[in-house]
Amino acid sequence: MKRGILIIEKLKIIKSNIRLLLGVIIISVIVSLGLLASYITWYQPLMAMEGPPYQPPSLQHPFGTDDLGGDIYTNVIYGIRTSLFVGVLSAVIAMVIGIMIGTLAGYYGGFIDDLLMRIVDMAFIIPQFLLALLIATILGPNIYNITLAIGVTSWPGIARMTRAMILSIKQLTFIEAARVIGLSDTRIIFSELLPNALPPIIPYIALQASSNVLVEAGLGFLGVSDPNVPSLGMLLNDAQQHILMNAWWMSLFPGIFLSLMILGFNLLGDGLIEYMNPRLRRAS
Amino acid sequence: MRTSISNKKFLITLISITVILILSLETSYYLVYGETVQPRYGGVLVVGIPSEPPNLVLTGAPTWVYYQVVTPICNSLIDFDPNTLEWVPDLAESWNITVTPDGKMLVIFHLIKNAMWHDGYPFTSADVKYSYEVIGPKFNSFIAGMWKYLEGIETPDNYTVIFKFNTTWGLILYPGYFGGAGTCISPKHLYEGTDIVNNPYNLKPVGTGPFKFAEWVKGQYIKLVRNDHYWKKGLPYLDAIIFKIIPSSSAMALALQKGEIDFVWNYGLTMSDAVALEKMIKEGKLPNLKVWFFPSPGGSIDFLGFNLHPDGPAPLKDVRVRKAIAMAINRTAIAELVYYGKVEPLSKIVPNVPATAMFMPTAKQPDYNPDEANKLLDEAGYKRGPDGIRFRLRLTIDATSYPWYVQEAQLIRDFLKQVGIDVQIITLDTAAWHQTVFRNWDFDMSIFPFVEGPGPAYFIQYFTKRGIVRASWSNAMGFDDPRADEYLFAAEKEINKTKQIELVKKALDIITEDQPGVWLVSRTFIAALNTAFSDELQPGVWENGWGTAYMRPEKIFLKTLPVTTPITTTTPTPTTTSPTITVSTPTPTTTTTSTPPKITTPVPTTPAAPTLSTEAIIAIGVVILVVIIGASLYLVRRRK
Amino acid sequence: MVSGFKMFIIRRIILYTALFFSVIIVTFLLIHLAPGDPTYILAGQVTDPEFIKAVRHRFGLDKPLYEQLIIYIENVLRGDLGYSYFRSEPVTKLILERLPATFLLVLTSMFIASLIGVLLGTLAAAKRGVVDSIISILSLLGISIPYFWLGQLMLIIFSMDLGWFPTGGMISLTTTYTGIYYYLDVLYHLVLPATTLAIFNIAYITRVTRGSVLETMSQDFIITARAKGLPERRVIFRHALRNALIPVVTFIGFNTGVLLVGAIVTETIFAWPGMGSLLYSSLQLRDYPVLLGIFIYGALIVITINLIVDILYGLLDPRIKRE
Repeated sequence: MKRGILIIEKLKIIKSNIRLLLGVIIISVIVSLGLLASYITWYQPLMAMEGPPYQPPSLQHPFGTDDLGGDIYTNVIYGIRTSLFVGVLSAVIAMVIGIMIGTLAGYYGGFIDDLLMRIVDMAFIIPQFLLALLIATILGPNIYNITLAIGVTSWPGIARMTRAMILSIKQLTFIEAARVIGLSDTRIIFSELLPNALPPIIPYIALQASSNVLVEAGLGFLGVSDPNVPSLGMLLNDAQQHILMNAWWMSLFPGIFLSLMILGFNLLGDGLIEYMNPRLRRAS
Repeated sequence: MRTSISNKKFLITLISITVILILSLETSYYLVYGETVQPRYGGVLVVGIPSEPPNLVLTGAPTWVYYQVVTPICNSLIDFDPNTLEWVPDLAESWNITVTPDGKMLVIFHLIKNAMWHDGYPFTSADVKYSYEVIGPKFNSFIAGMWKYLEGIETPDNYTVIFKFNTTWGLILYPGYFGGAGTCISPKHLYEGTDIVNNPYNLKPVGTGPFKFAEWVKGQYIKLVRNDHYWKKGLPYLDAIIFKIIPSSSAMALALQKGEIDFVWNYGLTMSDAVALEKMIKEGKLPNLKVWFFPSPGGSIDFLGFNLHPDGPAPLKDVRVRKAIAMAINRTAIAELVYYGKVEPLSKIVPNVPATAMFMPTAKQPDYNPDEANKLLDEAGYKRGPDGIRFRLRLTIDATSYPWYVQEAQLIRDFLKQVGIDVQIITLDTAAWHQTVFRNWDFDMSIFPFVEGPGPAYFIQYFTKRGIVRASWSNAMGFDDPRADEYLFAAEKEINKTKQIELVKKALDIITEDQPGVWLVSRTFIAALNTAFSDELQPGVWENGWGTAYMRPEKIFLKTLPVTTPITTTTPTPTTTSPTITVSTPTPTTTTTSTPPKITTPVPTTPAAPTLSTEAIIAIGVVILVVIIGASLYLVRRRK
Repeated sequence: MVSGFKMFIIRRIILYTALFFSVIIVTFLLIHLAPGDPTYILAGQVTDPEFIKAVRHRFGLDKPLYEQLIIYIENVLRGDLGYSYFRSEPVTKLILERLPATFLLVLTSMFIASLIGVLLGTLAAAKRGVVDSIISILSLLGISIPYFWLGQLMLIIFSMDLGWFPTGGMISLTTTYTGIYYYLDVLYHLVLPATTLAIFNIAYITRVTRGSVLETMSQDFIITARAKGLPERRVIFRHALRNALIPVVTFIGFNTGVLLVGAIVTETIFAWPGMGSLLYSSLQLRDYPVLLGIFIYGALIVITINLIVDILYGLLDPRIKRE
């Protein structure tokens, strides 16, 4: 009887945190695939002529071969690495910039706030993807430039959110107290404000990562990708270019893993938000 | 007996009917499908093009997309026989090239007298002079470049034009200057006194050719209709030609499959789409379509060029390294994988096509031999490091205009990896590629889509010191071998074709030995045709940017139509003479200009086809907006 | 005394104007700082430096950058967006020719997506339970699947394998339909690309609506309405939805930019003759005037939508009025 209740309790906990759990599982699987890439593949990434071109999936080539005879499975697994790298790193860049700007705007208010928020507004008017496309094209398509381009165009949302958080915390008395005592601004920001403002924002790294992975794939799809590095977007671009060859496997497999990655990050982000704010929980 | 007589009659009748039936079937079959098919009048040819030309100036900027549309509308002074590259008459029925004792050259053209512009004005030498003096230099780089060697143009009468050159410039024998590159003649009476660059006739051209411009619906199609007063009597056969604009290759392939377009000439179909079509045709799924691949007639090739400037990468300065790279790359594999086996892997540095076959040198590039390559690299002192790599090189390509270069680059990277050279691929768009490679010289290796013919002009441009300028389509490699230079410059001034060819061959032998890069493969042209049309759609002499006389549109006809009008072709018999060279003293000439009488026939205009008008969309948008606003207002009021 | 609402709108307009100009300046600078020069593409395969100089001068590319910028802004104010370098056409004409196609695509998918999305979201929030779970999962999948991949798959399955829909373009190629058949033909070609764009947005809108409705439903006045004994449907439609829709409308407005971008990529897949393909080819050709023109039009559209949303926001939300 007791054990039955325990199990039911456990199931309830799992059920209410299902998103988080699923997200963690998916992302862990994906990350391990990426880390173990060299162990689970038997061809070199981006090597052509590993087999005859345009072969449908087989034992030797589980995802088939592409137009140059390269093994798609290998490229997909290594492509996951690239997407993870670009997606997460650019999300981190975006977070850093966004938090910085949001904090400055929220804390100092006044003219600085106005100026920074106008910049944020402007950033909202030019669609992020277009700007990233423009910047990536200007800088040249290699993986660092692309990461930079995406990171530098995805901070506005974070900035606004951070600013809102800072604004709401700023009002709290203990901040007033700190100022009265005479603590320096920097000290206040780093030891009082941020530790309170940041935690709710952290989950958004995951959401940002999911969005950035999509942008990176979109850029790759349009041909803006580093040819020296396998990328899922580039694989989809290949599929589009050779679409008349009826090689559906060139499109299906990269897309599935791309979707999984984005889904994983979304679940992770949503799950974390729920976990930290039980009252926002959309019970299901 | 009655029965036997009627039986006999019956039998005879039966037999005769059968014979007559068979004979008539035979004749009609023969008429439609027979060997000597008679041309017939009528029909519309729909051509698919992937983009619109910026304008339709007849003496305009030489790009391929422009040619396809302009060639049916206009004529040049002379045309080129696609196989022999000799001059054939067009607007000029005969000509004379004369060298004066002081080394200058006169080219005299005698024009036909019965050509007429589409608006009724007669064609005269004044049009030629105006086109070459005023219009050409503004739009056409050939003509602009010609003026370095041109002293003047004279028109002693309405049907004679004399071009005076200050030296014996041998390049005029090749397409681009007097014809064969869409270097057509424009009507002076419609351009004189106007703002040439913004002249409305740049978008609705008036020419002398077999087809007249009818309409241009931007983004959709350009329509040309038959010129009933074409000066070549009896031509053309077709009623109209429509150029449909289809920007994507897969859409183009689909349109061909569905029979929505009849003809595609090279641009607009990717290799893989064309190969897919070919597969379907082989399987019998597309009985009316024919796809064929043929080597680029103008001598286009893919050339992997090395940066040989003083500040270029050190390994590439050693000829052994360059030879090793040539040995490491399996050109046949590139031809198979990137071009589906449709192109020629290059052993010698010119492809075996009409435009360049005459220049075929004796020397050839090293064969594919990765072991030998490894040996050579070791010899040259570049041993493999602990990670197996000897040195790194960058490979910069134009991935926008030539997207399949990405695959080619990947293959090259793989091949070079096997001999220990690590390659980093840098993909740039067209503008950036030109800037980086041609003007900044900031590259190690690059794939150049060079055109090697016809004529020595290209070798001079890409492989002599004269070409080392920081400008697009120049000798970005910085390659300069004075021995080769000597031969090529001499060839430029040589008017005797045989001698010229010998000089060029010697130069090419030297260049092959020097290996300033690896000549990878020739490029192939693709054509797709609805088999109901005659096979007059011949390969032309040039391609891509240097002109194409790719089809004789006046001669195309639709085979499935009934023969209605008897054909009385009084086409002037072509005088295929090589230009005769005579040395003589120049005769004094006077220029006369006369204003021809004006005969006006209105240029037909057709109303534009209905498109999804901006008004319609705005209307829909407004309706949606009103609905939303109305709904919210209603909600607001309800609140109160 | 000017009403708070009017003040609000006027302030917004001033803000947007300033933003508009900043967008122009920033985009202009970015584009011109890009390596690569259209002169060389314009001049064709030419080596003659004189010719190139002439071409440069003809297009005004030899003036210093700030001068070009000033000239450009002057022209924009006059409504002249310049001439395309590569297609002998005024930029405005080029863009306006393609704008209807993109509009058609974007508006149709937006319309469908909004309708279905709001419906599904409300349903999920209202009914809860299994229906909610299913809809939530579906919408999560919808935003996780890359829309261009979806479009590609739909192209492969529905166009190539099954042959139900055309593989691209806006109209059938030779047969020129007229009248009602023309519109039906366009509609036929519209199905796949619009669906591709719509699915992504349906998912998003569903999620936002659901969240918003849920939040509204937990508020006091709803509980009051329920306590009054009003039927559930009345509660939802009369009271909850009105408030819940505010953030949704805002979201739809802000998302226009994203939609435009989605349209660009979708147009590439389906060869839809809209602004998307124009943008892409102009980017590669460095056709500055067209590029700038597209960004300007895009900014204009986004600003207009934002302004409309602000107005609606102000009408719907009484708090704004009192400012």
